[in-house]
Amino acid sequence: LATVQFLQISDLHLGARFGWLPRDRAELRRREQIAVLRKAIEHAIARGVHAILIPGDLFDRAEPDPETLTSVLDAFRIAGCPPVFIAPGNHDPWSENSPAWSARLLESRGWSWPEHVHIFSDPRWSARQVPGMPVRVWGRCFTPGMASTTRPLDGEARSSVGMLAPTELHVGVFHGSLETRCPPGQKVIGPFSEEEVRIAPFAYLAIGHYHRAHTHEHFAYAGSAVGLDIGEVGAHGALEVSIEFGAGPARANFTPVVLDPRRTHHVEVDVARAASAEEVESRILQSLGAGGVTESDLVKVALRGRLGHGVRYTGAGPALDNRVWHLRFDLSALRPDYDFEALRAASDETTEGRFARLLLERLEGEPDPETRAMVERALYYGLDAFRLNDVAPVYEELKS
Amino acid sequence: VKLLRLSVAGFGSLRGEHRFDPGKVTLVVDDNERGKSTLLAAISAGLYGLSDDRRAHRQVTPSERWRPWDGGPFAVELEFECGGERFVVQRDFAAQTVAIFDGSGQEITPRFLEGKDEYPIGKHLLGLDLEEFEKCAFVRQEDLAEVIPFDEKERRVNPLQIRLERAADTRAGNSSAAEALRVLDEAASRYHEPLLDATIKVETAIQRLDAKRLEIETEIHALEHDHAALAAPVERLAGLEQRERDAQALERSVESERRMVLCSEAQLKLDEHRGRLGELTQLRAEREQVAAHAELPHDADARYQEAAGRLEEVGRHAERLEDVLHQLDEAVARIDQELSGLAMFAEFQDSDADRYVAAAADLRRLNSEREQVSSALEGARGELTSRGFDAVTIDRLNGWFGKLEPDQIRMLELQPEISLELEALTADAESSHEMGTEAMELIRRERRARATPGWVGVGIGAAAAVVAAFQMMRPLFEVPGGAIAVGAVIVGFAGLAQVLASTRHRREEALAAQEAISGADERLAELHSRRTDQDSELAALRDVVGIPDTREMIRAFTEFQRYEREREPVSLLEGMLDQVEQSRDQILADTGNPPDPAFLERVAAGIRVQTAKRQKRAEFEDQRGRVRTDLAPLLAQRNEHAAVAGSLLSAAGLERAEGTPWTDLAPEVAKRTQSARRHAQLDTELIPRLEREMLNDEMVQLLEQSIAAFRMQIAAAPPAPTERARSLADLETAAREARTELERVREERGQLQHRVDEGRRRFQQFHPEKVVERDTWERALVRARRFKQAVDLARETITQVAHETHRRWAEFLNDRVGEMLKRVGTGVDVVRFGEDLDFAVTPRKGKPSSRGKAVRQLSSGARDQVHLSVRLAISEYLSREERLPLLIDDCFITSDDDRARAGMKLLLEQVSREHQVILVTCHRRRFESLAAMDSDLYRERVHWVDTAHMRSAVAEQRV
Repeated sequence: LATVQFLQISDLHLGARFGWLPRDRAELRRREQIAVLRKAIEHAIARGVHAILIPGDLFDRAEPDPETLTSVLDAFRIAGCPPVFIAPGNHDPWSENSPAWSARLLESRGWSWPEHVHIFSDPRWSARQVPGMPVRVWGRCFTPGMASTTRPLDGEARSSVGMLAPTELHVGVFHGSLETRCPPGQKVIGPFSEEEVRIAPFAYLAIGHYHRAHTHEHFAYAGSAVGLDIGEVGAHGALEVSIEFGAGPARANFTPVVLDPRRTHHVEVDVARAASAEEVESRILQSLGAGGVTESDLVKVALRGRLGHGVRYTGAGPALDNRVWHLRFDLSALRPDYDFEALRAASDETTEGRFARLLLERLEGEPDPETRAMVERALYYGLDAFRLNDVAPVYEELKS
Repeated sequence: VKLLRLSVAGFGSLRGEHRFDPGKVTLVVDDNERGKSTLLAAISAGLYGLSDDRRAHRQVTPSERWRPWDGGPFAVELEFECGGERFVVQRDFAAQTVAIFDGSGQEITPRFLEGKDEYPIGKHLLGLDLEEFEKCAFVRQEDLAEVIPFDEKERRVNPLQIRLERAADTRAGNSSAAEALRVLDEAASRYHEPLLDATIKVETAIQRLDAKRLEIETEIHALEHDHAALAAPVERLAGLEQRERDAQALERSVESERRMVLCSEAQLKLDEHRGRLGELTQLRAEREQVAAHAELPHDADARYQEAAGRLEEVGRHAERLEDVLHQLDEAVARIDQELSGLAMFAEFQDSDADRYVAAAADLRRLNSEREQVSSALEGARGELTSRGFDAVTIDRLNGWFGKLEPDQIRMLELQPEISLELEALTADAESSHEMGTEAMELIRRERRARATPGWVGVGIGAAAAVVAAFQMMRPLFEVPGGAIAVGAVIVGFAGLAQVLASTRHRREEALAAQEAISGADERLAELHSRRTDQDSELAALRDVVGIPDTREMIRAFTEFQRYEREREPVSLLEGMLDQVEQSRDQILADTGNPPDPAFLERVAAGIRVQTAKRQKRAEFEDQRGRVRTDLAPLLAQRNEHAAVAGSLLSAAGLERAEGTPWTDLAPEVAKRTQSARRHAQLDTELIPRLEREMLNDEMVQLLEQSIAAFRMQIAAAPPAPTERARSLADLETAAREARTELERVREERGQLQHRVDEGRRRFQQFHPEKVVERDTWERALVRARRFKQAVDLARETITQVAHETHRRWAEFLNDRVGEMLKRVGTGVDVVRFGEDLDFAVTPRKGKPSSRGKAVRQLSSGARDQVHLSVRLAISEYLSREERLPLLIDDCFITSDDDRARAGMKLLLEQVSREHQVILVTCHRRRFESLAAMDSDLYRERVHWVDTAHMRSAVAEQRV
């Protein structure tokens, strides 16, 4: 019985723009990405893992900026760094013209990947032995223009692997999508099914692409190493994978390793009948406290409910300053204090009443969400004009 | 809603219990400034409570306003009916308590709780909040004035429509449609966009945002384009890097190779030096060996060689010419012998041979043609015979028709056509004749049928005339004879007329038929004449031919014509045979020989052989003369060359034995001459030169050291293997080229690397920023568009609804206001509202005029009545479901007595039957006088409440 240990880390998206952050914080976040990579390598050295597996999207794009590239090359030169196996993903596909992967182009700038870093440069499966271990790491890369529907584990791909030596442990590293579990906001590339995993010739598959960690008996997504978007809720980092093999089927054990210094939260706050903006922020602060949100965290606050009469809330006020590292509001479910039911049930002949009923009827018969939202906004603006004698652009984020 | 009782413990200056009769107009009379308006406020407070919210009422809250000054109780109790139920509301504003009881006295307060501690029972029961209730139910003095502002400027900026809407459109707010539209327009025209740092129209903001977005988009595309364009330089860079490595390797290799060459050259020099030393020793020894022949001329071998060579060449040439001369003599003798055997052709020339050959060929061709034509002629004749034209028949036909003249032949040829034409014309004429005859016969029959009744009539007339004559002479019966005579005449004449008419029946057709018959007869006669002439001519021709029967002659002539056609090939072949025979006879006449082509050809051949032999002999004679001429000088040259060669042999110390070829001695002469030249060369050239080229000892030592150093360097960096060794100059050139290439590649690579780095840096720096910037502007654009769309939709919908509302209001107000004004008796006939709620007024016996003009023309009383009517109509319109009480505050203060009376009658007789009316006034005497004028009406319809008396009573109680 033998045990092999890997550190699986993927989807670092180094050099990502973080356009949703202010410029200075985006820059800081990019530096944190590099720091996370270095921290992962140091962790791997400290834990004595046999290899680091990176199943894709190490870089955010095919041409990383020189600063990012040199930082990565330096990171992998940390003394004691174990062998590294990289299978380029759809964001950083391998090509002969890639400034990140092409040894030729790197050499022309005086750079190179360290010897212990192996980059899979073939879209078909190829293998490399883990030094000193009866373990063979198989990998395949994405290439520019590769069809996103290419199945990495279908019959043709499996047959290309051929007969595997039974005395060795075979581990696959690739970038792909487990069908039926694609998270919202991510697209399916290199699809595969659990059944294909089951009949695949590999004892374990380290997979990248999904930014949310997911483990299975025979495969695992480590998720994104750092939160790349405000929607990627929770802690981020790597997976320590320990595989026992040699007697019977191989068995994988997973230990999550939190590397991202920041967590991302999604907090819903009910602000119904809040009588003022101050009250809204008071409720937000209360929810942040209840949710264990720290000052270094990223938070998306979704406000919902109908505000009190005449109250408008369009964003963070001074009370929320410095409460969290980054705060984003979702005001799409926030509504002014207009009771649709009362408006609908009213039978008065006033202009306002008939205006409201006309738009409510249109709202009810409108199937398109965008148009519904527009009609709802028009209703609120009209009612504001009637009742508050004041109209301000505050309903643009509203969603139906 | 029907208000029944209001008990006031303290509310402003108001106290006491007020009872209302919902079936009558409650006329609350008090002195001026004694709080009659407070009564209305107390009713409102009873239904809705009093607000103490300082945010909504900054200066003074309603609670503060109505709190009694003397600090006494601050409470009211209101009893009323609504929806068939009775309610009692007790509000203690000081203690802030509320209690609501139903008709049975059961407390139902919790049913009306709203918010934390408010009990707006009026809102629950009427569906109107306080403000709405007051606008519907209260008719205050100032409200009337506000219906149509007195101030023109105010009227302009705040038109009636808004006033009416404000008064009426109060369901959940206090803005009219027009005001709401104004608010929306203002919001759309004052859109603040932080990115633009401007507050501008939303359309302008959208335009600017879109323009900016497009600008950024263009910049992004430009960056992406520039970035994509880096692919080629990157590829080129990789190539340059390889070229640089190659150039470096080449430079190193060339340098190493150069060292190797230098080393080789040094070694070579050293080896040469050593070689020269040995060579010099050898040369000196050789000089000693060849010193014996040093005096021999250095060109002796060449001169001897030339003399011996020429001597042998001239000898060989002379011998060859002598042989040729002998052969020519023999050939001439042989030809003379052959010419004697061809003496028979001595008279013939070559032209005769040509003529005989041509005649032989023509004769062969003509013989062949004659055979072919004869054979064809025989076949054609046989064919003619097979078609029935044997010799007897041919002779007979030629006997008949061969002698005829061409015009006779022509007549016979045309005979069938002429006969046919005559027969056709004859048939045509006979047909015309027959048709005419038939037509005439038909007409005659018809004429006879028509004439028959006429003849009968004539007969009857004649018979009747006879009877009449008998009757006149001897009456046999009672009819007078004259009458019978008259009848007889009439019948007779009628019959005669009928007969005459029948003779003219189809007269034109009869004439035409007669004419056709005559014409046909004439043509037949003419044809008969032509046939007779034809027959005469044929008879004459029969005599010439010798055939008695014309038809037989025509048939024979037809056979003769067929014979002529069939015989044409035979005639043609006979002509051809004649031509062949004539040609053959002509050839025989020309050659005068027997007609045998072979013979003619043999003669021609003999003539040509004789001619050839003669020419050959002449040629040989000519050659013999030329050979003799060439041979003489050759013999002279042979003697001269023999003398030169002999003298050279003597100088070399050699002798020639008789019979020995001169050339056999040439090698020895050459050897001795070579020794002489070698001696001179060694003595004057080779040995002195070697002596000059010898290295000194220092140079030898230096070379040995250099070679050792080069060998060490080469061992350290061996050159790349090459196919062939290059010279030092080539290597210098190659090294220079390699250096130049390296510098060029480095320079180009540096420039290209800088360009790529700069392009990438620019892309990586600016592209993300621009994308973020574009997204930011895009979001702002989306926000602005969404805002504009929503505001536009709200605006359109409000406008649409307002138009509909206005139209319905206008209809109602037109009817109701007109009805009220008629009853009041103003000088206004019609008030007509438009859809914009502006209205026109038509005075009695006047023309319609605009609102502005009418208001100026109306008296203040009339104007108030118009306003009251409008106000009442609006209240009615808004309270059609639950009739609200109308709480009126001294509405006739500006009216004259007549109009005030009419107005009161309107309230008493009309309005109060549908609404409870509570009218407060401080003009006691005026209303008393009005009551006196309509005492029955007031007694029946007015419930008087004198609050001054109530106050006195309360004061007394307190005392």
